[in-house]
Amino acid sequence: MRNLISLAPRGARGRRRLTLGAATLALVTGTVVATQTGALASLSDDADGPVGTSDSAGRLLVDLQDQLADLLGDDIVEQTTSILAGDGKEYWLKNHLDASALPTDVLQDLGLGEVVPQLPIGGGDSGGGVPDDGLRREYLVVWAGDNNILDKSGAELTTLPKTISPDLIGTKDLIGPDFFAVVDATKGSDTYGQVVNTATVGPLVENEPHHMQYIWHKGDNIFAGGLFTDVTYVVDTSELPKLTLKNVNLPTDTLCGSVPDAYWVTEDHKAYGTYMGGPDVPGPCVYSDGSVRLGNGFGGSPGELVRLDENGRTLYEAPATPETAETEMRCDNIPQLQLPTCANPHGVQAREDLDVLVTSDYNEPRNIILNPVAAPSSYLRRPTVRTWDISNPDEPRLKAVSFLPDGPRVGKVAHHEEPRAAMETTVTNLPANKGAFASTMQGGAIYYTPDITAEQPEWREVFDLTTSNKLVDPTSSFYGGGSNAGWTQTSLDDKYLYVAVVGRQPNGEDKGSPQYILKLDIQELVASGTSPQCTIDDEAEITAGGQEADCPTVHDTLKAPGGPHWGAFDNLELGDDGYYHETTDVNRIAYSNYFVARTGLNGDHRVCMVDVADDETLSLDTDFRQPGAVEDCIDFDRASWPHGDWGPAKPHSMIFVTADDDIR
Amino acid sequence: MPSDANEPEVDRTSDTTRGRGRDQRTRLRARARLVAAAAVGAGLVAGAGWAATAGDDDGATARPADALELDAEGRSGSQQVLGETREPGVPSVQRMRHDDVDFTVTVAPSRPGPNLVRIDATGAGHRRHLTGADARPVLVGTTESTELVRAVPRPGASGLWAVVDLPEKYGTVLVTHGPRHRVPFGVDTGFEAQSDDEVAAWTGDDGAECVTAATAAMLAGGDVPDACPAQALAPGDAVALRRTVAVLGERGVAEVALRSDASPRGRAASAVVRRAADRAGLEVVDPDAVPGRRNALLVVSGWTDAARSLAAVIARPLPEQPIRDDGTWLAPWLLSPAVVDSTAGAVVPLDFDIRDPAAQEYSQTLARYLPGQTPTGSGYAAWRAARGGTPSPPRLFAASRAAFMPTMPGHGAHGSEVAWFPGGTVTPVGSL
Repeated sequence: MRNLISLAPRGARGRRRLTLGAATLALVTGTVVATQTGALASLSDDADGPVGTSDSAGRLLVDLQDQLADLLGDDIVEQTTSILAGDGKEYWLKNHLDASALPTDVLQDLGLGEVVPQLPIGGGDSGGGVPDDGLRREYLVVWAGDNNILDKSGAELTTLPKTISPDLIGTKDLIGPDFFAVVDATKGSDTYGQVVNTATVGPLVENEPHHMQYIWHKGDNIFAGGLFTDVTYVVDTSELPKLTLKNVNLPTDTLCGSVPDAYWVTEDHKAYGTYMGGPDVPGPCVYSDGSVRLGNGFGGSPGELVRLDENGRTLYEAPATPETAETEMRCDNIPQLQLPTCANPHGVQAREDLDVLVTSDYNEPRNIILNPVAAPSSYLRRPTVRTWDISNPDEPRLKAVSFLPDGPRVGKVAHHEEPRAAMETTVTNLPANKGAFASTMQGGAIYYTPDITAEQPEWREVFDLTTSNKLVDPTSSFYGGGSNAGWTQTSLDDKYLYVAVVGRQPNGEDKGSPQYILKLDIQELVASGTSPQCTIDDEAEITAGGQEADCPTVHDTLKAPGGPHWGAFDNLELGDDGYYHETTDVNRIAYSNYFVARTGLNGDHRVCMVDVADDETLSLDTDFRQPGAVEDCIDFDRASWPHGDWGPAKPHSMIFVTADDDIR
Repeated sequence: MPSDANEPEVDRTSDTTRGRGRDQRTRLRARARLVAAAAVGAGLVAGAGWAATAGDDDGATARPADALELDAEGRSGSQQVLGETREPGVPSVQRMRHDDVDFTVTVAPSRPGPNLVRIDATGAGHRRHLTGADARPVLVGTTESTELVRAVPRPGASGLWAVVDLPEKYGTVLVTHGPRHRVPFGVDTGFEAQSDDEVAAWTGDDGAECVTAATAAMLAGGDVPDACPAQALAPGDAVALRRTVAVLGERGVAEVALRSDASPRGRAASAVVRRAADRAGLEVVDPDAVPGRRNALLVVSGWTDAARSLAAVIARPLPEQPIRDDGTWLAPWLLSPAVVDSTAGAVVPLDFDIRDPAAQEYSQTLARYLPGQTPTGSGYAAWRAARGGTPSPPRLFAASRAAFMPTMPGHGAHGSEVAWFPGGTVTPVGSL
């Protein structure tokens, strides 16, 4: 049980004060509090949509004993925001703020100052479990899924109860809510590395939380996707550490695509989303431009690019495949389509100044897991990158489909060939540069094109992960195929390329390949302009790296046991004025060790912080850990969360954010 | 205990075995062994004596001594999972732990004559004994001295299945996978014989679905349903099928390739679809015919036929598989992981969402009490009916895999065995 002190939105302080007073009186007199806050529920005047703030506590019966027990050991303040979605259902985001981990000034900023005296957190006359240190807070928001019985095999489910009772399942295995974990990422804070809020989403469970946008800028909402539910959650961060639900984009809002993967937010705070899977229903789908493509259904092909407004409403669905078959390399679809396509967009980044957006195709999502009847095709892993014309930002148009060239390494299986499974793409950032990179998950290679504005960009392999695998662990099976490159991101000054390498799992004679964060120096390559010389086209270059002078070189690697799949830059720095400012001089990154549990690539569910030194080398920030933890990083395999004893969780992606008032 | 060399003959051509011998020689041998059996131990003595006495008093045919031993062992060693007592006519679900393997065995209908036996094996020793390199087949019978049959998967269902012939009054289902691994379960069968239709319903192609529905109803605290799901087309399913065909027509589909079977439900569903297709101007075609443009496959047969026919298609080389522009659509009762995983994605009309709290409670209760059994639409319908739940208006759902990594050789599939769709998802995609 937890304190059920509930909050009203700003502007309702008078009512809240009355309610809290009543609750306090009830505690003192030992009266059972039947309803605390029925009067608190109110609707926002937000013109953006039917956003409301409701009081969950008002629904509950709280007796004195529970209240007293709560007061002795719990400091959680709950607040729920909800919206009425297009399907007529209510969707919500429920904050569970840990007041013991927040200084009074932060609580006061949230309008919680009057709640503090009701909490059992001590900390002086003003409440707050953390001293006011004067620091404005920076947070790492982590999009995490509940790990539950459905992520286990039947072999783990053998405990036989003695008796049958109505309450059958413990919460650890119960299907619980997915959530955003808000972690204090403020260097020097007493609660650095502590989860100060978990905001649970509902009513949908089993979302399989996946990506948010790559980087956050002031004024942006968070766009967060659920793979299995085909839902995009849009969340307001302006009042961090509290989060507010702005909207949910439902499967029926993107009829021509499914399985949302990643987002790129543009300067106008709108976003592009890659929907990797095919149309919701097999057959023809009519896109926003009036054109039609035949698809083989949910989780199939072809995927699409969706333009979303700042609150996640669908503005435009753009087909990712042309009206002709894609046949330059083999593109299998299961079931077959009349016109084969490799269009399953995953990674997405844009250069608004160049009117170009780039997406990379990973695979036809539903057919990758081993089919019990027939082995899937290696050719479901896509070797393609697409460039889009976004000169009209709200009507993106497919411009070119590029097949990544094969390299000199011979894959042990077909999908280990270099161009297969182009999971991620990343653009250069500076105005003078027009290049972009792509990484291949199963292929284990890095590609580069010097000019994404070209009618048909030319991509070349510039690095084989075999090189860095051997460097990190010469005793491993450093063969690059299946090294599972994930997050791939150019530094904001275009000097370095970061890659999270999950590694290949050991199997028989294969000792597996290492798990690490790779940092490549790409300065010479980017400086080569439109005439790069680097190309991995010789067997020796597979292991030794490219021979040409402009080839990327390994600047540093950081061993990352646990399987890093995703990462994020800290693009915020605390200025002398006490406020945060955006920077291109990134000195921290975060990474997470989780992919998708049901694929067997589960990771160890930790979120880690990495310091970037002046010499651009990487080191694990060992201060970033839960209080009392003996291991580094934030372990999401834990028994309790601010929202309850829901057990382990699966952190897929993260982003650095501050409250709106704390950034200039 | 017999050695490997003396292991009983296995009839690999049939999943049915006859029960105890009924001749005089067996009866005499049974009486002779009764004395020895009585010395095995107090519990065993009690069980054997009880069984022998009961048989004599009630006039039931005497049983072989090894059957009595097994019966006593089964009654003392197994745990009744559903219900407090063994009741004739009520499917018996029992569990026994043996050599790090939890055997959950369902016997239905628990009446004299042919009974369908479902075996779910979980636990640390599961992989070693049943799926590893030294795995042995799981054999099922009534005693080790009678014929044992191999338990085999049934298309469209999880678990292993066999049909055994049980005697009147009491019976023992012996599950074994080698001479050192014998797990007996006692069953009370009573004296009420099954009709031919009942035997067909419990043990035929639709028997797995029938057992699934019955145990789900019991798990919910209800009674065993009066009829198996395949014995009639539920009104709600008829509505869902009519609307599904209407949606296909609205989407411009030209051909409906209809896959049905000879069950009462299949025949009724087929008639509903044909009438609806006629109203919508759709042509109903043979599912084995080469698809024309704008062809959708609609499957209304039972689990067995659906899984078998769908799997046969995707087992063919990709270029030889038919191209159906409008994909595969399944009847509501075909939401069984083993059915939907037999095709590469399908659309299915459902009157519930697997994420509904009630559906979650069902799937998790199933996982807890009947580990190894996957949740199914038919099971949930029975659970919901027993709980007095109300169906929602039907909607269209996409049942699709949604996993993202190739499984490496030797790692096997890591998908959950308890998910509605292991390694996948069932997501609402439209209204009906």
